[in-house]
Amino acid sequence: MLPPLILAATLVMPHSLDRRAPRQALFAIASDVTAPTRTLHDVLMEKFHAMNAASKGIFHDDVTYVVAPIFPVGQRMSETKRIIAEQKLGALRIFKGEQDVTQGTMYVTKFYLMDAMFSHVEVVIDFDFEGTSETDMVLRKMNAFIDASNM
Amino acid sequence: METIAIYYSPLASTKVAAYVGLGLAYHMALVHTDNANVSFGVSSGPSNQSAIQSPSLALGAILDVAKDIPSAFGTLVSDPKNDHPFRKGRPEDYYTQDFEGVEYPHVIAMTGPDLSKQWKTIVTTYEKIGRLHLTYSPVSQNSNSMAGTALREAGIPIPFSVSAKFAPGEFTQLLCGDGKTCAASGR
Repeated sequence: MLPPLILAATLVMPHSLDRRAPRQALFAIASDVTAPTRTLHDVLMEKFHAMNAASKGIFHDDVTYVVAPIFPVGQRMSETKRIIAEQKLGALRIFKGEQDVTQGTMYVTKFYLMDAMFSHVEVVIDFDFEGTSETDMVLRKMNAFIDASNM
Repeated sequence: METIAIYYSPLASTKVAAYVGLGLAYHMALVHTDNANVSFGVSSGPSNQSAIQSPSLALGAILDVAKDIPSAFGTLVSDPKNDHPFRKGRPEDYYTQDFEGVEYPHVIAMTGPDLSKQWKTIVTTYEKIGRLHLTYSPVSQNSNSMAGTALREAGIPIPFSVSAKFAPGEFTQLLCGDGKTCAASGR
């Protein structure tokens, strides 16, 4: 067991996000997102600008690791809907394509990061819910992608 | 039979084009579907999406094309995930359907028992053009120009029919023989 002073110093020691273990980084993102002043939109805008700084374009890039902390597996559908409404992440709709689940239904939502004259950058979140009706559905899996459409 | 198709995803942001009677502008993605019903797609776009797009920046980009320098939108880059296999209609299919799973308008550009040779030419043309760091211009030298050039290189005519959509830049030729840019070839 660490002496109390060392333990306290370890807990408050500042870390660079890049140097953190992936699990710690995930928790950091989760707390960033859930902090009152930083929405998921804000966090993803930073990601968007970082991608632009790399000048490689934006092509259906996986941001599940950013979004996952606010939509954990087992989350009830009512809670998912509440978060989507509160954070203005679009509207939950049934996916009309080929379903990816054996039971339950896949839903999807989309919101824009940028909507300009010749292109838009959007985030699409796919949800797999399992259960027989919306009252008892729980989240089984989600995936989130940032993508750009342009001419 | 195999197919090579052009899928047109509408750009809701181009409402101004629709307002003046041109209809929404579309982004072209090329999709090859083989005899096993597995599909492969290619796409491209600007290296920089952060620029606040405006008519003045679009005009500036046309001038930048003539100078062969990056515009405010950067350069024309190809998707690093091009040519990965997918199944149409599945959630991971972002070439042929919108986010709700509704199929985009499309045109079959070629049908045949084996289109692997034509598809390989299309994929390598995307890679080749992506390495040229050409100026990105939203209305004159863009992802549709990449698609149009790749089709031509593969010997496939660019569809020009009632089913084809308004896709600005699709007839801009980016390669003029031996893999050289048209500017380098003096054309």
